Amino acid sequence: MQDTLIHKGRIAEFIHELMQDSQVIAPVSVGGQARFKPIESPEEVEWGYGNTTVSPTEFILPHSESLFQFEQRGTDFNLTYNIDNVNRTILGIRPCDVSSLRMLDEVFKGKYEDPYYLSRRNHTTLIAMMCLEPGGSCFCSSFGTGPGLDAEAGADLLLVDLGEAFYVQVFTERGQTIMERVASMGTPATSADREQVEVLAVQAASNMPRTLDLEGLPEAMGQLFESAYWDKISRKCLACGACTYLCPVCYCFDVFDTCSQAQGERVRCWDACTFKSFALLSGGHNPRPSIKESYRQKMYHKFKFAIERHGYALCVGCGRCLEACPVDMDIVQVLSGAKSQVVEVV
Amino acid sequence: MTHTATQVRGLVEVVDEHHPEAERVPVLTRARSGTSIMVDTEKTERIRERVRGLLSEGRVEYFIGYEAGSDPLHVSPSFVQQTDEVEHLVWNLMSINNLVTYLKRYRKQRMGLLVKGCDSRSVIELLKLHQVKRENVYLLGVPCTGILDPKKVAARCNPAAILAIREDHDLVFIEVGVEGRTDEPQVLEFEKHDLLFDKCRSCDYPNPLVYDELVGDPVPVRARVGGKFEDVEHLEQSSIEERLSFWQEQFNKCIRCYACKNVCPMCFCAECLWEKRDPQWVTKYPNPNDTFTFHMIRAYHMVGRCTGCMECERVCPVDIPLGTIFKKIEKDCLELFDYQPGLELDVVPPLSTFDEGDQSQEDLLR
Amino acid sequence: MLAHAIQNRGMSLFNPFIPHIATVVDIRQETGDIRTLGLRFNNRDLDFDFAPGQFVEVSLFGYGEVPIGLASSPTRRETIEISVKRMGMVTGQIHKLTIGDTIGIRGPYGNGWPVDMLRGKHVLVIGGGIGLSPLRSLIDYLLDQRDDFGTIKILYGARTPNDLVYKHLLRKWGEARDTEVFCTVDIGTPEWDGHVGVVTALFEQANITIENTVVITCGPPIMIKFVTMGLEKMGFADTDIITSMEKMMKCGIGKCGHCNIGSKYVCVDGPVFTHRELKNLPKEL
Repeated sequence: MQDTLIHKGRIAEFIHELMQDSQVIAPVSVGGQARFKPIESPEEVEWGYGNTTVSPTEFILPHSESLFQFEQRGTDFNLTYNIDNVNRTILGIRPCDVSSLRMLDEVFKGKYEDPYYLSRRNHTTLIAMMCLEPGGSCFCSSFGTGPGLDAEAGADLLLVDLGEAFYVQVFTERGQTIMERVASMGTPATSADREQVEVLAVQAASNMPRTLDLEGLPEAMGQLFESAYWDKISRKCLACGACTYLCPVCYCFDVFDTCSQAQGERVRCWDACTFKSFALLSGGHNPRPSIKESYRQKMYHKFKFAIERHGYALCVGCGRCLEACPVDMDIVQVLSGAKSQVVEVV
Repeated sequence: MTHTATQVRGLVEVVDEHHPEAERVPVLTRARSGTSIMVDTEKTERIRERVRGLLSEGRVEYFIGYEAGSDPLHVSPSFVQQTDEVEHLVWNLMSINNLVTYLKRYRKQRMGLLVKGCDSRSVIELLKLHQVKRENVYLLGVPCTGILDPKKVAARCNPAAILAIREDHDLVFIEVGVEGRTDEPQVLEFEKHDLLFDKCRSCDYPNPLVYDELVGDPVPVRARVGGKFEDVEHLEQSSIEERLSFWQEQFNKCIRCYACKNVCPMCFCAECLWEKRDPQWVTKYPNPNDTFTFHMIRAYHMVGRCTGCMECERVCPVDIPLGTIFKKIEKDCLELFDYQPGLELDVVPPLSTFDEGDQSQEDLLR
Repeated sequence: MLAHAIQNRGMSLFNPFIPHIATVVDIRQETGDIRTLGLRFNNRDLDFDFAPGQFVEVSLFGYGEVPIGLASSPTRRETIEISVKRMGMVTGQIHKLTIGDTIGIRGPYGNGWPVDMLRGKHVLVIGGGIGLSPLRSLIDYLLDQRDDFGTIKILYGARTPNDLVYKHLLRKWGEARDTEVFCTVDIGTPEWDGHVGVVTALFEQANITIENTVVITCGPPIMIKFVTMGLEKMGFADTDIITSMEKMMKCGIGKCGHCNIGSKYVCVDGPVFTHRELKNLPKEL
């Protein structure tokens, strides 16, 4: 597939074309903070964004959604539900967030396919934006989830900011279809352009401020479950949900009913394993009674259990958990510290 | 103090707040790491010495202070239990966390705690509300000349390039490295009040009001920049509809992570209504009504209790100006009851007592 | 009844979150806070096949959902039965239902008891309190195919005589061929002439043999702990001690993350585990 250059002067036109048959989600300024929102005009897009506080994956797995509505009719109940099949395009999604969706897919597929998630996923076109300058908390290169993006990651198109123009790389048929529609807006990319992209990718990767060495981590954690290390490390944790809710890979959800018995809806919404009541049984027994256990669960679920179950850690190195943490708990330090505990013992 | 020829004064006005890339300082490739933290050596040494003493004398089981954070702009709370951990403790210009919030978790233990003036007010209010026993808490007070807001610093220079931060009275000097250059780093000079947290700019109590001992001499109250209740007064002048739409817009951003509630030293209910699951009185999901109710219930519970540490506003990941709500409550409480929480131990909170001179509901509505 | 299949971009998706509507056709008050409901699906054509030890998500619309083990055996299909202890909001509402009321049922979920492994073997069933409910599904299943299994011994304990569930069945089971039932209570009453003490105290009286015997147990965590300790001491292999685990659950289909323990999701990988599997899981029971 031929890569294309779209001059920045024509990018509004490009977005306008995308808006013809899909709702375009792009980074806009909300009170000075960049957040992905549906746009009504191409001018709203804020191009100077870093990693947004809230990941655009919220458009695939929203904070809350209705599973079904119920209405009592005599002694019977009538249930109705809606599967979201709006065509959406997420424009400017960062490589780490694209990668997180591939991880979420594994969870929401399987024996019981989740129609709400999968329909939204199938109806969403991903136009990624390569990161040229990693943020201060980023460590995506540790997972291969950024700052660049390969064809397997799941984006349809990848944009690279070359200053005057966007370099557009096509990954999928869906992406190809878009590029055919906007063929008149771009010019074919040259090998010099391609080289520039590669130089930028290498540069961005070498500017990555932090790394997490996963080598031996699950094994170390295996030995460390009962360790006082988790006691110590979790003392400062406030048991809020900031890290969890901003994590693009955290997917745990709660399910509950709203409204009266006669009419209402069943809703699911994000939940956080760091909350006190996450594992609480209705009889009052809590298998994870304190912050130590809940924080440990968070770390183990992401970096040990998930590796055992899915073959990869549930982390893309976006650094949002650190950015949002009220007490500056740094997942890289916590996990590196865990590894060094085991090394010390040996 | 050495100044290089490259110092930039008044950079503040030049930088666009929405594009804080600070192009004049290219990225310096350097791992984000806590090792390069800048400390106030004198105070830090004094704190370490005293904590070592407290632990070895067995006066406290834990001491909670600050340790190096993930980058030069952050510190992190530090729990020290052994004398060999004392070396982790630091004090610097970024020591913002109100550590009093941890007291609710350690009610029965003898705790040592580092408190600034603002933090000490939370202790006073907790003592009044019988949440903490004075004899269980050993307070090491630090007279504070104001803490820098990492967001304000980051808006003016690339945090990844910071090598050192120094203060000299009303000025702050930030040394930044320049990529590919090994000569003298660039030194940026700022007016300190431009970099301070808003609460520090109008701080009335820089010296702890309750403490067992002080680290350093008391400092004078900083000359106030602007009125304390400016943002509240501005909102009060707008119509009810405007205010409602302002807050609705703000609360629509809320992701209900409860960082504001959990960081609050005065939110001490053993089981919070908002996290109670059975029965679940309120939902976890951010529907506008529940979110609005959440913030309002918290606000009303804080009347005569909130000491204005502004931790809720600081930790909000989506930048909701929660401090404005609590300043409004502080202002009302002051106007109606002439009461400011967290100042004197022997003054009873207004909602815990009744006075014949209290204004009636009708008076208030008039 | 809804058609749950959804056409979606060429994919045919089944919606696992939509419950089947069922009507309460029978209610039996077992104890002060435990009742058994007989349920019939409103869609008579629904082929609701399940294995003993599987569970369903029970919906009380307007209140929520709770996971509850099926108490009836798949060998008896006119109705399904669940036994529910009054614990929280949803179970509290279940206790207010009357005959003719409708509720929602999703499932069946989970792996269920390993019935194929039990064929030709002696089965020792040990239950505590409401934990007898998922065991009842198994016991009826075994008794309905009596020739396939060896001797069956049922050890059951409850707090007081009033807390014993399925009193009518306990008697009936004891009358079945090669089947013995032993009951105990923690605190006796003047009328109680049976055994008083914890369930492990019945081991001797029951004359338990280890050879060719598999233990199936369900009850409160503290009971499971002492039962497995006692059994291992007697010489039972940890692969022959099988238990069902209770965890906070929401979705029941391996998505919501609440029942995660180690690399397992109790709702899809369990709730039935061998004691060996449990040993390898984090100690967060």
